[in-house]
Amino acid sequence: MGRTGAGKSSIVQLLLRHYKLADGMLFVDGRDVNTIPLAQLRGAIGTVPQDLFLFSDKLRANIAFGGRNGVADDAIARAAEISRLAADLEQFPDRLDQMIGERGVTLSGGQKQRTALARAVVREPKILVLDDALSAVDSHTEREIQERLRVFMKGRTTIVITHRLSAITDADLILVLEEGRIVEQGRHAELASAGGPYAALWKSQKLSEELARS
Amino acid sequence: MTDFHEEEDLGKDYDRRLMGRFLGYVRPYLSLVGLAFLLMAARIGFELIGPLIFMKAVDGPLASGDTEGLLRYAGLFGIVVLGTGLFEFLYSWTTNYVGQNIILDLRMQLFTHLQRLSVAFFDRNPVGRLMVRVTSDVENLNELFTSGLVEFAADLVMLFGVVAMMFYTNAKLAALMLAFSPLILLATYLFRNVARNRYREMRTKIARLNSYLNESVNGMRTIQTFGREQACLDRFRGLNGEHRDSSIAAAFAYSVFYPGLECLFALSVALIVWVGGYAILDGGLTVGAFMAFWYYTHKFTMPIREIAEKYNILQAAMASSERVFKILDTPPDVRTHPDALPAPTLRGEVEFDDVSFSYDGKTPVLQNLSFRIEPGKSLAIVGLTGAGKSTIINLLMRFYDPVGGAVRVDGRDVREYDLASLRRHLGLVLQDVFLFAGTIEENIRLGEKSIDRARVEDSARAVNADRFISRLPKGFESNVLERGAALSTGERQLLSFARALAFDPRILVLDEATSSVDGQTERLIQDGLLRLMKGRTSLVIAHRLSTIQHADRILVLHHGKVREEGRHEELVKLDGMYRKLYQLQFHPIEAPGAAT
Repeated sequence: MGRTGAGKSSIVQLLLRHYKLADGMLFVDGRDVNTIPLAQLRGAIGTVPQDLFLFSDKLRANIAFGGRNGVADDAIARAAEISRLAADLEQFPDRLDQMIGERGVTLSGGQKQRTALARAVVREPKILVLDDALSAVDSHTEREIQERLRVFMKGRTTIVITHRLSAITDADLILVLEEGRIVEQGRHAELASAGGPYAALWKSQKLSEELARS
Repeated sequence: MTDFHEEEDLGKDYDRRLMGRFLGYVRPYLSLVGLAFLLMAARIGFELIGPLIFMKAVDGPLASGDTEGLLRYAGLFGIVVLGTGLFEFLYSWTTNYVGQNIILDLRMQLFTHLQRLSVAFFDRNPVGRLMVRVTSDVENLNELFTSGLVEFAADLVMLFGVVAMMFYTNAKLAALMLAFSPLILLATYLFRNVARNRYREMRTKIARLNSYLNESVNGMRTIQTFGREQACLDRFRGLNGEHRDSSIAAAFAYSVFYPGLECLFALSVALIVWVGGYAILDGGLTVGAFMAFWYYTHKFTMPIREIAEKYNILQAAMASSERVFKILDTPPDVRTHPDALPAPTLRGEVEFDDVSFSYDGKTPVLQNLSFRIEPGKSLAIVGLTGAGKSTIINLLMRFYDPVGGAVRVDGRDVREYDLASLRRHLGLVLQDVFLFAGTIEENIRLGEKSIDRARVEDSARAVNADRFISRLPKGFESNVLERGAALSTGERQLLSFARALAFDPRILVLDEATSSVDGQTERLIQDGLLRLMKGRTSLVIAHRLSTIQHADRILVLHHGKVREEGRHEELVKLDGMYRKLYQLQFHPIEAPGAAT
C-alpha cells in the first residue's frame, strides 16, 4: 500500500515485464525475470489492473480471454461465482452471453471489476495480482469475494494493491511504499501498533468507515 | 442499449427525406449550382457537336477535295475541343468550390452543436465516434453533392444528348442501337444489385477490421498480460481474410460487369457496322455520318456505367448523412430557455433550494439539499468521497439540471438565464487542470480577445503564478506542452487560478486539488487562492486547512444531505461529524504523511 504515485502499480508492470529492467532486480522463484520466457512468466500471472480493459464481446468471451484456448463452461461459471459476477447475471437478459458495449460501457464499475477478476481467476494463476481491483465493489460484496478468494488462493501467491486496509489485514507481508521506497513492512498487527504511516492510515480509515456508516 | 453496431450500417438506399434535408445545405449556393449546371450543359453541348463537325468535314470538303474547307473545319473542331476543355475546367472548379463550402458549413454546424451538447452526451459517446462524424462522414456528404447530385444530372443529360444526336445523324441506326438498350439496362440493373450488396458487405468488413484493430491497440497491455497474442492474431486473421474475400467478391462483380458491357457494346457496334456498311453502299448513309454515329455509340455506354458505379457512393453518403443528422438532431439536455434572460451583471448570490439529483435516475446523489451563499461570501463544502460535493458544482455550472428543486443565482432560477451569459459570471477551477496546446498566455486567456497581455500578467502576478512563469524559458510565450516547460501539479493549479482571475468572475467555483505539493508551493497556492476569492462569492470543495479556516461558512455534506453547517470554530466545538472529518482530512495529527 501507499499513496498515489508511490510506485505500487510500477511493481506490477515490472513483474509482468511490460517495461524492461536491469538484470537481477526482480526474481520469481529465485530466477531473474529476464531469464524466464515471457509466455511462461505471464502465463503464471493473473492480474486485475487498475485501468482494466474489457473487449466489446460477450461476457463469457471476456472471461474466457483469461484462460488458454478453449475454456470449459463450468470453469467460466466457477470463475464468475468466485468473483461474485454470478450474483448480477440475473440483470442481463442473455446472462453470460450478454454483449458488453465498447470498453464495457453497459456494465457498472463494480461489474467491470468483477468481470476482470473472473478473467484472472479462470487463468488458474500461480500469482494473482489485484491492483486496486475492487475499488468500485461495495464492501459487502467485497467481503464475499474475499472469502471465496481465500479458498481459491490456497497454495498460490497473491499480491494486493489497495487503499482499503481492511482488505489486507490477514496478509503475510505488507509493504508500505513512499516515493518508490519501502518505508515500512511487516504484518498488520505489527504495523498497526508501530506508530508509523501505516498506523496513522489505519486509524483514519477506521474513522472514515465509522463516518460513512453514521 | 448502446449502439456499438452503428458503424456497421454503411449502406442505405436513396432516401428522399435525407436528400431533401441535404438540399437545404445546397441552397445558399444555388446561383453557383445553377452556374455549374450551365457550364455542364455547355461542356456536353461542345462534346456532342464535335462528331457533327467531323461528319461535315468528311462528307463535304474531304469528299470534294476542298483543302481550304478542310482547314476551316479542322479549325472549328479545334475550337470545340478547346471549349470542351475550358468548360470542363470551369465546371469542375465550380462544383468543388460549392462542395467544399458545403463541407465547411456542415462541419461548423456540427462543431457548434457539439459544443452546445451537455456533458452527459459525451459520457455516452466515445471520442473516436464523434471524430469520424466530423471528419469522414462529412467528407462523404461532399460525395453526395458532387457524385450524387451534379454528376448524376450530368450523366443523365449526356445520355439523353447522345441519344438525340444519334437520331439526328441516323434514325434507323439509332433505333437499332436503342433496341439494345433494354439488354444494357438489364445488365446494369443486375450489376447494381449484386454490386450494392457486395460493396456494402465489403464496407462492413473493413469497419469490423478497423474496430477490432482499434480495440486491440487500446487493449494491447491486456492482451500481452494474458498472453493472448496468438488468439488475437487468429481473430484478426479471420477478419482480415473476410475483408479480402468480400473485396474480391466485389471486384468480381465489377470484372464481370465491365467486360460484359463491353461485349454487348461490341455486339451492337458489329451490328451497326453491318447495317451501316450496307447503308453506305446503298447510298442511304454518308461516310461522315457513319463515323459520327460510331463516335456517339462510344459515348452511349459511358454515362450508364457511371450511374451504376455512383450508386454505391451514394449509398455510403446516405448512411453518413443519416449519422451526421442524428447528431445534429440530438437536443442538449441542458438548454437555454426560449425566454431566458441575459445576465449582464450579478450580485453573486447563490441558493440551492430543496435540490435533488440523480445521474442514473435511480441512485439519489443529492436529496432535498438547501443552502444559500450571500454575495461576496465564501462557502466551503466538506464530506467523504461520494457525498455529492462535485454534483453541487455540476448543477451550479448547469452541466446538468436538477431533478427536483431549483438552483438560483441572484434569486432567479439558473434555467431562466441565458446559459452562456450565466457561465460568463461563473469561474470554475477544477482539480485536474486541462491545458490546451499553446502558450502560457493563451492558456490563461483561452481565446478571449478582451483580455489583453497586461491583464494576463496582472492576473498571474496576483495569484503568485508569475514566479514560475518567469522561470520558464520563454516566460508567457512558453508552450505548455513542450518539453522543458512541463508544469508540475502545483504550477498547473496556479495557472488555473490566473485563468479564473483573468475572467474576473462574480462567482468562483472551486474544486481544490487533493494532491500534495511541496511546502513552498503550498504557501503560494494558499495565498493566491485567498486573493482570488477576495470580494467574490465562492463555493469551494475544500481540501486545504487554510480554506476551511478562512471560509465564511462550512457545509458538511453526507449522503447528499447537509449534516452540519457553521463556521470552523463552531463546528469543531460541536464535536460531531465535522470534527472527525477535520481530523481525518485536514489535521492528521499522528503522522503528517499518511492522509489519503
